[in-house]
Amino acid sequence: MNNHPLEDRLRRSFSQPVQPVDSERLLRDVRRGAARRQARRTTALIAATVIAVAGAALAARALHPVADRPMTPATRPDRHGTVSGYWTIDRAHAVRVTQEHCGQQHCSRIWTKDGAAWHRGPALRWPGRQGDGMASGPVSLVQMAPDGRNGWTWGTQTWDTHDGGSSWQQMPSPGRGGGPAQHLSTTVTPDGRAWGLALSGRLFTAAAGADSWSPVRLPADVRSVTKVVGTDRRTAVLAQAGSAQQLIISTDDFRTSRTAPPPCAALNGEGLTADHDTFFAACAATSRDRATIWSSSDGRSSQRLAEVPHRGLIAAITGVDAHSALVTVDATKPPFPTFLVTGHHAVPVRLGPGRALPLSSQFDGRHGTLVLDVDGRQTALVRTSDGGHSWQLVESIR
Amino acid sequence: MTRGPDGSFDEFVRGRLPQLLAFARALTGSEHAAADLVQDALERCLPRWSKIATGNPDAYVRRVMVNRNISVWRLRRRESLTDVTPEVGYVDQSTDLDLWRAISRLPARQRAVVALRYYEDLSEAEIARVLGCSTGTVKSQASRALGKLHNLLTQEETPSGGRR
Repeated sequence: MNNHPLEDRLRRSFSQPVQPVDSERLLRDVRRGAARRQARRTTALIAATVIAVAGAALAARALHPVADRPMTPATRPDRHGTVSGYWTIDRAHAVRVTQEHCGQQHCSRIWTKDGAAWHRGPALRWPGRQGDGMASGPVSLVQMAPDGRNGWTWGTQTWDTHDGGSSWQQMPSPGRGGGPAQHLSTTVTPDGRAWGLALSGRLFTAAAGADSWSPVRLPADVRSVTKVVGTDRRTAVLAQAGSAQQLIISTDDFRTSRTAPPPCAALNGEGLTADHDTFFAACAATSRDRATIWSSSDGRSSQRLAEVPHRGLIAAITGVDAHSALVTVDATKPPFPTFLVTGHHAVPVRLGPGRALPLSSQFDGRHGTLVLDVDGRQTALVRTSDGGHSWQLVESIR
Repeated sequence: MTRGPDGSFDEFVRGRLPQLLAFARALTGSEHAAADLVQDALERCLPRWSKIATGNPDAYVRRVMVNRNISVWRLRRRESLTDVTPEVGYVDQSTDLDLWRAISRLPARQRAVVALRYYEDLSEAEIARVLGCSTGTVKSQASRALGKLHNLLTQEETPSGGRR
């Protein structure tokens, strides 16, 4: 058997360019994954220590019996798995996703909050043996449309609901060539439309109530899409076109669009957000730089607001109102420094205990809620009533 | 920001990501599994980065990728013995889809040998060091891998004889 043509074919295929992956997003996922691993190791170590101490105590008690004492209340282990996604619809309603053990596999369960009570929803499972060896269920994140009825949960698969989270249906993967669904990241814009970003960098959309994805037509020179954000009136896509980044902005779901340069060359997906009528961008080229914050009301021209007084890339940015944004800096040691940028001023704020990273936010005037990832181990809900200057813990879920 | 000495972890990832993804694709035979493998390996390397960075971090991360890919494959071995063609992810028109499909059907250790030989251009002795086996094992694994690829590709080209 002459293998030379096969060997040449292998070298040719291996040398083909690989699909691009956003390095900043990957770095953030790596850091969070490493933090979770560390937490699991710590938990296992504590558990082993507890078992060893308990074993020693039992042995000692067997050797030296003592009178029975009343039991002290013990903290019950959480039966509801680990929270991986959380979305607040309004002050009384929310949806969360947990990862649980379902027999031999992990599954994902959807919970809905109505008032003070959480309702246990359906468990989403892997088909057949597909989930063998997987560390989590098929979905991990969730986002609801402003109407509170339509929503999407995604991870390796994508499921949607049209009844506020009571029932969920699996959506097919985006169209042929759209890439594997497990790398889909989904954004819901204020008009209730979902935007699915595949690993391939291609963009798909689904209207509220639709159960399938449609490809979005972008300018021909766009190679890949990094992020989608939307205000009440405009949707913007941060895209790689040739060797440059572009902001592509549309008011009609990209039936028509216009292109604008981003406010800086060093803009990554984590540093772009839109809230109400304003786009915010945080630009830092390296971890040794201080990020500058820009805002734009029309996506056409940007105003430089302030420089963040802490070096580092941006872990999260969220708009508070048309003039203010919360900016969290990726830092080695807890907590992540967070600043409220208002006009040309940036003041430090404390969101919560430990290493708190905003995952999602809702603001209405000076009132707002943030869902935080704390130390990669628990999810916390915090609330402000003074425009983001001070935050109070509402709920903490491990 | 996560910094090893001189903030080298982030700089390493930014600078070497395309090469790591290409190597992971060669190891897994799949675009999307490649990104998962790179992330998994980096998560394991990050806590030890200050030590790793003082040696040859590129070689270290690649070795973790090879070992992790073999471990994960062991967990999923039963799946790969079914008739279902593994997903190869998004491909453009110029991609040799048949070849990638065939690569993804190889056992993980054979895929590792093929990736190290034809992507990394390592010698048999170097591959043996990475995989922790003898050069004889590398030779036999490479021979089996090429033979299996040849057979799979021949079947792809003659659908009536294939097991698609």
